[in-house]
Amino acid sequence: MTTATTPPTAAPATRRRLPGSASMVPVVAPLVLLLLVAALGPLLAPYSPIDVVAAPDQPPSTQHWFGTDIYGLDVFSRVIAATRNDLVVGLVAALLATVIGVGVGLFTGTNESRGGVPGSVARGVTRGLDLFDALPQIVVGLVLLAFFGRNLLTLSVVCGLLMVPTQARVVRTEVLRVRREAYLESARLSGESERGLLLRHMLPNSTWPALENASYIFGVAVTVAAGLGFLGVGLPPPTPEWGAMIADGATAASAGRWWSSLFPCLALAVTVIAFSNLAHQYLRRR
Amino acid sequence: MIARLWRSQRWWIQRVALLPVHLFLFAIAVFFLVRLIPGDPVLIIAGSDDLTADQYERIEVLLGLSGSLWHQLMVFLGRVVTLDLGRSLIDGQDVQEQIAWRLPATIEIALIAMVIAIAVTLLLCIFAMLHPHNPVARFAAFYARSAGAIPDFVLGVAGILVFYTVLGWAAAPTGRYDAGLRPAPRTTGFPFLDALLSSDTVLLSSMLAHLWLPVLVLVVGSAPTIMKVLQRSIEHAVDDEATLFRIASGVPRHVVIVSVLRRASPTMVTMCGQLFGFLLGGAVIIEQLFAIPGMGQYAVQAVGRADFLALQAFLLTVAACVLVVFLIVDLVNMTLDPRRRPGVMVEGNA
Amino acid sequence: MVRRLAKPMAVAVAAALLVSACAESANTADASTDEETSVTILQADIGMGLIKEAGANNTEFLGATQATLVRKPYVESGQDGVFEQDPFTYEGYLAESYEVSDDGLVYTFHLSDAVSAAGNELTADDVLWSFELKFGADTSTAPGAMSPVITDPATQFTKIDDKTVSITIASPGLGTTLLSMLADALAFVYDSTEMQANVSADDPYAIAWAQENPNYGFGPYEITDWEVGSYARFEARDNWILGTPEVDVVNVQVVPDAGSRASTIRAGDADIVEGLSPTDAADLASVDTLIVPTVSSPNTSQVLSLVTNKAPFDNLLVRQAMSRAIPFEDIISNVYQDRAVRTGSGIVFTNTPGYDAAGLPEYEYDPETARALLAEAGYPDGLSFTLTVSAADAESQATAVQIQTAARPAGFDVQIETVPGADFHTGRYAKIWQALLSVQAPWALTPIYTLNLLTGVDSQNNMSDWEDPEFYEALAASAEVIDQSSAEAGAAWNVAETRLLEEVPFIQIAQVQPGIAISERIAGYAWRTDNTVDYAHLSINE
Repeated sequence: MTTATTPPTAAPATRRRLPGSASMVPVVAPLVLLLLVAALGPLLAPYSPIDVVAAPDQPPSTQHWFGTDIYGLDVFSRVIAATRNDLVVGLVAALLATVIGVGVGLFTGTNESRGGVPGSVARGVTRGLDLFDALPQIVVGLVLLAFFGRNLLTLSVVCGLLMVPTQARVVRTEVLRVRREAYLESARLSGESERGLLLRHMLPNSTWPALENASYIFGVAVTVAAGLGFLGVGLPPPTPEWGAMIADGATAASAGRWWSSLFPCLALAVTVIAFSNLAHQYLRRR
Repeated sequence: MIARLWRSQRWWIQRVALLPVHLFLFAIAVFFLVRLIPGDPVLIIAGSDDLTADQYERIEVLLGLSGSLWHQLMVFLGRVVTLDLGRSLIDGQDVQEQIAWRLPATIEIALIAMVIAIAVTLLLCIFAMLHPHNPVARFAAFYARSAGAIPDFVLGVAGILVFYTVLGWAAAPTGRYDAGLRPAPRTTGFPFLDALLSSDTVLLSSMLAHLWLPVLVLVVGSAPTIMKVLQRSIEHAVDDEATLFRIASGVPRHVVIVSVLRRASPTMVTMCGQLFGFLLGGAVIIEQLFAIPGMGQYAVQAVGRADFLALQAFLLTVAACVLVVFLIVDLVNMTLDPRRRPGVMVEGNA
Repeated sequence: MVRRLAKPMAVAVAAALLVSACAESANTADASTDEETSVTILQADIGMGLIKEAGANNTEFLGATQATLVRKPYVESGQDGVFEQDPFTYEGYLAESYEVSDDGLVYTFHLSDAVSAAGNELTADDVLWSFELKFGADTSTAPGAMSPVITDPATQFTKIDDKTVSITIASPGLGTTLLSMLADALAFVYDSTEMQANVSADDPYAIAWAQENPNYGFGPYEITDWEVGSYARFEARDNWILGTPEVDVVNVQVVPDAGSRASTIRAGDADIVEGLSPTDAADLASVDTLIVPTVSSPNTSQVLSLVTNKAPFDNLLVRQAMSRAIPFEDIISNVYQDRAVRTGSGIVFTNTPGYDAAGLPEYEYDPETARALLAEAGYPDGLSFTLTVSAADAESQATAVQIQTAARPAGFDVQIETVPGADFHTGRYAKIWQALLSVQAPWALTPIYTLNLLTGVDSQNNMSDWEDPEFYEALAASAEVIDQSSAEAGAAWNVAETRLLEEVPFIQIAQVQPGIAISERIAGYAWRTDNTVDYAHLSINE
């Protein structure tokens, strides 16, 4: 049974090796490209991304590399211009969810098993987050966006809020794990204060999983934004945003005019995978 | 004696007893959340016709929207406690009746998708564990990392385009079965199960033709997320000293696999709970796209029409379902691993 | 533990199997080859209230189960196999005939022997009860919608005998609008015997009862099976007053996604699809096996309202500048794929008998003039305003994008704001925005009704908040003309319409063709002013 015994150990062995410079290229290159496009966007776009420049639904051509969409806007210019907006949505959402999530997760994780007021508050918060998480994100997003109005900022904040429970749960699990570990026991025995414990041991230990999860949140936030666009509560046209573009082009795509949806969809997929790879390579614990 | 029984059984009794309390608190939160929706239901009822001030007031009273917010809240909570969700503001339909037939329909699809998704990912993960260098395994790893890269509705639209419009393998995205067929007699309330139970082969084959594509879309959409979690926990289990010991002592391959799976099982159970919630949400878009009447369609309609009562009922019902699933998950996990029971940690730290 | 659970489960499944084994199978393999003819229709989700007075309702369903005193006759359209309603003539339906008094104020209706789906014969009491209900029920919108033609049925309606009813109106010019209203969903006549048998203290007009028991009408079909928001099955009645409909069964399926509806009929899996986007309709028009109807003067129109109660559109010059900044041609070709027509700037339907377009102002895209007008108004550098559209209305969003681009060289910086459908509804009536795009589809097409629709005093539909005494005076004068199809009437409307177009409270952009596609298997589709499908007029091509 030797064949069975070697493979399981082989996988971790290759993974544990630190990434060399050769394997850095596929991970870092798309990110650099994305940031460049986001920064230089207006310079790269051949047309104004918000002006009608041709007849609608034109297939890709030499004038319009990615064709034109249902409004007659240039898809290529819009894919470029949307990069900045989508990075904003994803990053703000990930940042917001992480900041709140880490705070809440640390609090609940450290206090949950205690008695008294902090203990019950922490348990209550955990339950509350479970409840919030129990609701379909898309429906809560629908309600919140309907209320707050639709612009880049509210969309980012709503997507971030939706992801707080996930992040808090990751941190809480990590804190609970760290608490059980022996070195904390010894730190406690050596007389370190609760706050010191929290800052010096739990925060750093739970940071990596939270950061890795943040990259996942980035992707989910952008796709949730797209789903909201599909249900008719995305950013108002003609704001360039991949999700709204995909949603606007969805009907055209089902009639065979695939270009106005496909290109933003590819951009979205590349971005999400790029962030996910980054997390996979650099942000993983061990 | 009773005290001892209480102490030994408290972990689950407490957990079960708290469920209605949680739901009640949640109902209050839902009440306020739903009031955030802009739009005046009275005007929506009126359509584009003019209303006199007097008529406006009469409709407002009729809809239960008159009086202070506090008063409305009390009325609502009273209804929740007596399990009477009222009639929809907009279409006059009994909310409970609507949910009674829509909920099983949605749960059914979510469950089918969940079982298939878990089975497929589990097989893929085990395969990847055994043959990490196989292209299929590499693809699985890449696929797991692409979680969230493609929105659900894109998968749905692409699925309809490829499998319906171009290939003609799937039936039209017009509902659960062909228009004109009569539904199966209601035995369980779950449409597919009812069709299975009836001897109606026409209906059943029509349902299979209509449902395989939406289920596939849900599976493909949710698989990366599950795979991500599953791969992680399987890796942990593989790295565990107990597993390494088993491998070192040369026990048969299937024993190692079983042991790894047993170690990964609490994570898997927890994940099932989350996945269920995720699929209920995913159903919103799938139901819209494939015209499958269910809870998701109901919610989208309710938001569009500012139908407070319907939306409240939707949120409460879904939360209740997911909470029950979470409860089962917790109880199963506590049964599998008694260290997870509340109170255990307290004693350990005291 | 698993084993302990397994036993009761097995018992339950076995029991369920036993129960179902006794149940009859509802569907047979050869359902399609049955004797009966059936049609499958896909609809958007447009609500399914089963009585007009209960708020959101499905006019098409009501048209199939209910009937009115008169109706607008169908005539052949220019397109093969497509009919259209003649919106300006009225023929008997539940009323065998009607006559008008010499002063044009009293309309007398002679009722037919129609029998309702519940089996009761039509009487004058049915008519009186129906209108009492329309004006008495809490959720009924009839009082607003029928004003000023019908304001108080108790005094206006008179029962002459069991089969004769008369209606008195305030001025002769309202007569054509009265007939038009009596031909629409607002004026369905209900079976009072059946409804009165089902009233209760909570439900004095049996509205709640009617929601669950829709088969009390005089219309051609009965609903035999339905699930709100999902599907409905209609079966033809063999004792309908105008004879048994040709199509025995109509199955209506709700398919919320427009793309899914279009794909389905393209693949031939449905007979009629409603609520198509103009792009999909244009697309489907090129499919050989489908008919996409094009009518001479569609009544769905897109309207840009300029809200006159605040800056910048409180300034007439700015409004006039805006009327020169709209790319009408681009909108028709880009947004509507040429499935829209523009017959001048006026809002009175140009095919109205007696219509007179002489001297009406014309709006044309002319950025230079617009700039000059803006400068004259005190905005030499142009101005910025917010254009609000409903998120549920894809065409208005697309139109807004076209306006945004084209209005920039004219000096307007247009900010597009989309709000949820429910919010749009509320906000447009509250007149809180600067400008908004909406879609209008009036059922009555008489000049007086169209001119009054978006301009009424204190009306929620007066989205521009424009109340102009000179216009109202001209409108009142036109209502005094007894013969509403004469040149005299035409001249009177012209005065009012000229004033309206000079003042620019709103701009009608285009009249939009119906978004519907029909399989060539189906004959007899007729366009109606309520934009529903009349099931009773359909037939199957052999």
